Amino acid sequence: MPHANKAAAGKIAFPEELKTRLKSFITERCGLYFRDHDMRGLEDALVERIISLGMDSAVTYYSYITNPDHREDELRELLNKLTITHTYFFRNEPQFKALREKILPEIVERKTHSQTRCVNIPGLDQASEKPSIRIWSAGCSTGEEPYSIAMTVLDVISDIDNWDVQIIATDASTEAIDRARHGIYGKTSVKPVDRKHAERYFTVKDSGENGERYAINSEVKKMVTFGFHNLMADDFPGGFDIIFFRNVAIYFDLETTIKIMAKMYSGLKDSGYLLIGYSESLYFMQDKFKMIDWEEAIYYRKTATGEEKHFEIPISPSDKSRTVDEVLENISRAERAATLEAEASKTKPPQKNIEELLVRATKLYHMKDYTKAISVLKEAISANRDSVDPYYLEAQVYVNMSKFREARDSLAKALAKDRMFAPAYYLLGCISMEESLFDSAKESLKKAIYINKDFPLAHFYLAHTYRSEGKASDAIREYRNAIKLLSEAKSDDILAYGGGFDTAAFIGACRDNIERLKMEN
Amino acid sequence: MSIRKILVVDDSQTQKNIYREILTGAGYKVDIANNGVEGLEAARTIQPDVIITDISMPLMDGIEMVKILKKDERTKYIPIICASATFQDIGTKMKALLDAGAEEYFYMPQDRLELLAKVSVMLRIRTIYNDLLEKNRQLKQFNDASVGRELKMIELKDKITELEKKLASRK
Repeated sequence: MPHANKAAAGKIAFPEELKTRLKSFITERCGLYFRDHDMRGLEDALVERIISLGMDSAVTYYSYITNPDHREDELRELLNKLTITHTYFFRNEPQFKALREKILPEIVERKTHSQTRCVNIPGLDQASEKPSIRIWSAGCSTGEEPYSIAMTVLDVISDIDNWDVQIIATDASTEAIDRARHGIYGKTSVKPVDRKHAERYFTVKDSGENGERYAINSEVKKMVTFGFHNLMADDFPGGFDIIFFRNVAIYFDLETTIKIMAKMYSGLKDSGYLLIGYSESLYFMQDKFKMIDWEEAIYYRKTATGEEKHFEIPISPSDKSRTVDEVLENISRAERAATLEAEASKTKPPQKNIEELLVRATKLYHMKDYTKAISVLKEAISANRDSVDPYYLEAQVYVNMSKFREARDSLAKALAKDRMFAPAYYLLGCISMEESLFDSAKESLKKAIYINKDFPLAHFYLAHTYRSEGKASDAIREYRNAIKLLSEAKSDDILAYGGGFDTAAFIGACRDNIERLKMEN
Repeated sequence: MSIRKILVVDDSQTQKNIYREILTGAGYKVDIANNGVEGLEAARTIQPDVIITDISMPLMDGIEMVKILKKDERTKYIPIICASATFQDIGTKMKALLDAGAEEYFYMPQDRLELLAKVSVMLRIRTIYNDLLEKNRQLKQFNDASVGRELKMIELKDKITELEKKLASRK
């Protein structure tokens, strides 16, 4: 905090009651959880915000941040203060690897190709027709992400002068943007940068008491254009080849995120790429993007307009007057219609046979006659090789027999049929957990959530994984996510994949575990 | 009191996961075994305070396991709850389990609070068993000691008689 504010800071009264309410408000909205020793940091951030807003009391601030008119903006400002240290260069390295080895090469190849054709047209001014690549880093925070993108672009495109590369980086925090433009970073955020990039693109500055500082070089800096942009605003930039939208959605509620995702879709060129973080999800838009699961990375590619039948999401300015509920209702109606249509076209005579076999196998599974269940399932598989269901059930049977290798095989086959079959990732996660492979358990469970955000059990077991690793605050966040999703169901519903317990039982278990984790930490 | 340990014996992956979450949330330490054979082994080595077991499982089912546990000195005082989805013949199975020595049972669809309540009843039983065992041990110790004292007395009396005889013979 700047020294000038220190005197003012002392004057802000902070009743305990209010602190608690603010804490639970933030936790509820963003799943960010504060342990006792985090409270100091939260308080500092709050005081800093209160002063920046020119307010003189915490009560005024509380009514400001809870007011729907500026709730999202303010939360974001506040969270920027709280989470700013979590940002670093090349965050989610696998995605940057994909950018370097798959995405950019594909775009370069495609654009070079079309450029050659353009040049052949007589009379065209070559100089103004450099092939262009437009990349948007949405929610760029203090600039680590767009600069990492710029460095990756420089890795891939050696003749950068022959290209028109625009990297647009926006954020709703002016303070973050100022820092991004400055381009000076501390040791921790630069740590993941490998030596080659560090030597080439950074200059070490020694600034005494704060230790070494690293300044990003102008070669990289000039490639990025920073600007203020609120993702909830109606005007949205467009024409992008790649959009990065990572770890931003946690600041927004569901409705807002859905709107933003729809705008992201419109802002991408056909076949453009979307890179989202684990906290983001495609929300109802699975069929508008193709998921690409390459090595450790997951990213999405917009399906070309008209290439695939899909429902329209109303996002044009004329829809401004619509309420969120109406928009959501439209989306789900369209989705339902599309599903029904797809189901109707799928129903063919052989399907009936497999359904009967599945019912039989399920019964045997519940009666724990596993050997017979497997043989019925083999029959079902040979009856219809396209269905994922028998493979999934087979995997469940194998899991219960503790035959994990066989279960993994069945799930691999299910995923080969349908890459977007979330329960398969969920079960893979459970298997990894059984084998104490926490990292791959998390990876799989996150994939399940990626594909189907409405999968409370995946959050539930993700929480367990975090707890097993001793990561209490992550575990609490996931228990909360599970509660949020479970609360949307009727409390006496028997949960799918829930082993005979109703949703109330799961919610109760989540609450108990949150309390316990709080007590223990 | 130290943290109470609960052993869950179940082959169903979903089932054991939810048990674990519910019981961990309630503050118990949870161990999992995948079938009767693993259950036996775990009960002997872990010495849990309560066992929750499924009925039908591969390798060794619940009834078989309960029978063995209840015959073994090392495990016979661990209360057992049998849990199962309802199926045909469940009544007969449950009776067989109680006959084999299980203390409690319940059916699905299951209720979390009911499960926790039953677990705490079983823990009370466990405490009573433990107290009883401890008292028995103390009693035995006391018994042994008093028997020992009696033997010593007899021994001493013998010595006295002997000495008296010796004294008498010197006169």
